[in-house]
Amino acid sequence: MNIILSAVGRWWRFVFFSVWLWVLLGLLRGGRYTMFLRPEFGWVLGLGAVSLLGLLAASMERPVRLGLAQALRIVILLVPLAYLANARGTELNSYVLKKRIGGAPTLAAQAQPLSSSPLPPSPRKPATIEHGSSANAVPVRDQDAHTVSAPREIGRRPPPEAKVVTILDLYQEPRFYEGKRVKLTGMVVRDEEMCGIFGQKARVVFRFVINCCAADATPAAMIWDGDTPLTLTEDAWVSVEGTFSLREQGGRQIPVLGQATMASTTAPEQPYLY
Amino acid sequence: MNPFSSLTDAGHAPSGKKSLGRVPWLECVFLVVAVGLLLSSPNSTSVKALSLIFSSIILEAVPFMLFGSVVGGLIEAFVSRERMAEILPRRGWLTVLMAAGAGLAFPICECAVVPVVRRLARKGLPAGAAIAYLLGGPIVNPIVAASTAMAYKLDWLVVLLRVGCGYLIAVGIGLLMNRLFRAGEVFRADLHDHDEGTGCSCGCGHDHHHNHEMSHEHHNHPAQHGKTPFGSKLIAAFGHAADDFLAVGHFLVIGAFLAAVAQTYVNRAAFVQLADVPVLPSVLMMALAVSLNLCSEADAFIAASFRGLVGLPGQMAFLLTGPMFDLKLLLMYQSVFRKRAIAALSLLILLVVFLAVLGIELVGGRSV
Repeated sequence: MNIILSAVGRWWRFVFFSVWLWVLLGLLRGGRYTMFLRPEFGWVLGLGAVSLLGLLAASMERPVRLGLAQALRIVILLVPLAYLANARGTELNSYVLKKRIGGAPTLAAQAQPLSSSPLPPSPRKPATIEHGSSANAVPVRDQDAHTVSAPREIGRRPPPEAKVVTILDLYQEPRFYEGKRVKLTGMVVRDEEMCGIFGQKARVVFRFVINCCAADATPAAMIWDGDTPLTLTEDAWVSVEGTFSLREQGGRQIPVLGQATMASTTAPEQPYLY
Repeated sequence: MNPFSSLTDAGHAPSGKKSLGRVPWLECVFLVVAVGLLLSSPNSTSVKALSLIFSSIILEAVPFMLFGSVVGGLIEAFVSRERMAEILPRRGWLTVLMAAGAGLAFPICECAVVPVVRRLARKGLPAGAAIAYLLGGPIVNPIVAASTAMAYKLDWLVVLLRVGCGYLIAVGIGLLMNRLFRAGEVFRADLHDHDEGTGCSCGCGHDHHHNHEMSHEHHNHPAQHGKTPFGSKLIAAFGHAADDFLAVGHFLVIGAFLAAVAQTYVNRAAFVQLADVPVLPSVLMMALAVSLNLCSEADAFIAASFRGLVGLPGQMAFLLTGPMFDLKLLLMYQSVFRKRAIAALSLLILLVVFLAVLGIELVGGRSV
């Protein structure tokens, strides 16, 4: 027992830094860190990993005895790893939406005039988003980045082709897309306030825009106003298609997708918008 | 020999009398709450959201803290007190002016700046200048200026206000702290004690350490400085970095947890429902900045998202407060300053920022 305690006492720093290094490398491998950080921020974890290598080397060179105060600090420094494990498979959802957008009564109030969108600016993009487009300063990884056609009905004039966009595109270029038929992906939630204004079938479609990490995620939401019978659960990922417009409500302009359809879809590779 | 020593704050050589050490109430309460919450309802919606947000803050902050610790360790191993004294201006107020703007040349975030300031203080940087760099470094730097410009769509007035006010506030508080406290009353008493791992704070990089069984012989530094191999100094630098990270890191974790709790359970709109009341939005935005613990490179986008709800003075209150004072920093300051100094610093930051914002409101009005 004394031998074990002695070994722990001498090598605790090495073990502790090794654990953290293993976690950071695990997050970098396969891009799992993108659940928490922007994809471009992988270098941050890399910086941490390199720093930890130096600390590991120093720990091997100079073992330090462990005191009770140090032991307490080590336990505290390991608590985040437990929360990290618990966060696996989690994504920001309507619970966070309502906390950050202020809940149902303020959705309309916080739909700011879109001509002065608070969301991060980006260069004007073409209507059709393509992977790797140099004009697209913000890497959008929606899984269906191509132009699709709406279904046809015999004897009737076919509806215009829907442009595949993101909610962020609509926030940043509302006048450009107004009146146009668009298709986008998001999560869906039922909101009583919006149902009172737009009808019982109205739904809120939303996604989160992040600048650095999930902690600063800002919700971007819009109203889906359609007739499709809905059997979707809250926070389900959906693909919606409709005509984009801005509707005046209480002195604010609310983004609305009218004459809209909705269908279940799989979650995109990257859940956040940037 | 029992490798576990008695409870002391730093684990270094005990004095002749027995000491029980500080009772770690904060640490124990944190452990009970954090672990209890996770074990009681790990799959609830709120705890899942808390886990995601807490992990995000930690994953963004810890690498920068590690980096800051490494920078501090390099300063410790490669910069002697004599060299530090040569670099600093002789006039105290000039040092403060330089330190507050040092972020332009050495940009740093608020997580990394604390371990760096710890080491600079040990090297003899005066308290006022250390505080000026601590407060000014995370705001007065090109990265934050660029992110602010982006968030506000190249509204250079906002950038100028943030950087300019940040600089002036850092200088003012640095000079005030010099006035309010005598030398030796600001920094922790054990800040100048030898490290656990390397035992040396003289910049020689000697790889001796404080082991009670071994004698301590090293005091021919000026003659031996040039003879210490670079590799030994580098290992010593990382040893110091490990000391710093382990001394400050747990405060970062506790602060990040508090911030994550605030972000998960507090409704943000509640902060701005009183936006029509004069002055109150600024106070509420300052409280929001303290509780959210956002990185200074990203908080501009959050502040900008309040346009239309809160006027520019309120947004500036958020932009100025966050990088200088939040829950995480308040706890990390305990590794550098004495309690009285922390209390004075906290009050000064909040008061000076509030007065600055009040001035902006009086001059420019409350419009967006």
